[in-house]
Amino acid sequence: MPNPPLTEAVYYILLSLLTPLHGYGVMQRVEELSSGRVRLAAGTLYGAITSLLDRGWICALPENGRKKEYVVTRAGRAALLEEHRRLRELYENGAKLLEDQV
Amino acid sequence: MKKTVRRLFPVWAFEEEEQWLRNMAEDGYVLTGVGWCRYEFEEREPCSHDVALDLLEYAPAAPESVRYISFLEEAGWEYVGSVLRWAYFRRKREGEAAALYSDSASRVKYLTRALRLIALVGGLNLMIGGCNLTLYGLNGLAVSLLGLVNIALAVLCGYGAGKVRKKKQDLEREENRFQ
Repeated sequence: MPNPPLTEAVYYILLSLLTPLHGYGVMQRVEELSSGRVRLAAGTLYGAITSLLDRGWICALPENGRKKEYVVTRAGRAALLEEHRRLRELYENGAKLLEDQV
Repeated sequence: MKKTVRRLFPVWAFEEEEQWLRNMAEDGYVLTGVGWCRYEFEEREPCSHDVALDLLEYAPAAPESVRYISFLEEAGWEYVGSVLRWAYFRRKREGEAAALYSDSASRVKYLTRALRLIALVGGLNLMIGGCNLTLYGLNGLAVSLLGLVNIALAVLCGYGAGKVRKKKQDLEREENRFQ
């Protein structure tokens, strides 16, 4: 069964964790990726990270004295690709029909 | 300059409490300590800090809460202290005002935790009040009057829970509008 559509926050968190990052790094990367439009608050990010860890879509890297870092797992990457395909379909259909009208 | 204020907020008025703490920070009084109905402030630049209130899922000393608090600290929040499971945070303002939650889904979870707490406090008062009233014959008038106070508190909790529930439902409706 396909995954339900991801929320904007989860999509951006997964995208930013294609390379390992700690929590604050995720907040900065998401803001940067969305040109300042999506600003995740720390409590919201913590809840999202906890549920992504539970789903096995991200994992925590072994700590070496620094802040805890996370990275996308294979399952997380598959979910991200699936969402990317869905968004592309939405975008392409929108472009086809809307641009005809302009 | 330090300032201590004693103030009681009912269990359901956590948003009013947070707003009051934010107003204090805007007036230049930043929260530095908390206790039972007691708030300590220090005078700083007006609007230099944001203040936030959160309801922890576990006791403040539990490893889950320690992990959560240190995550918030890494993100720039300072932990001021806690009363039972209510935790108080402050943060030096950089640019726009900051909050702990930025989407409806996480705010709904926060309100759900608060509702559970209000239900617990209300339920306990109802139970104790019921016991005190039914034991009238054994314990005399004073205890049964105390029972009436408990029942009144339980009714107030019910009223408060209704208000919080309405807020939660509005958020959920907003989130599911197009689903």
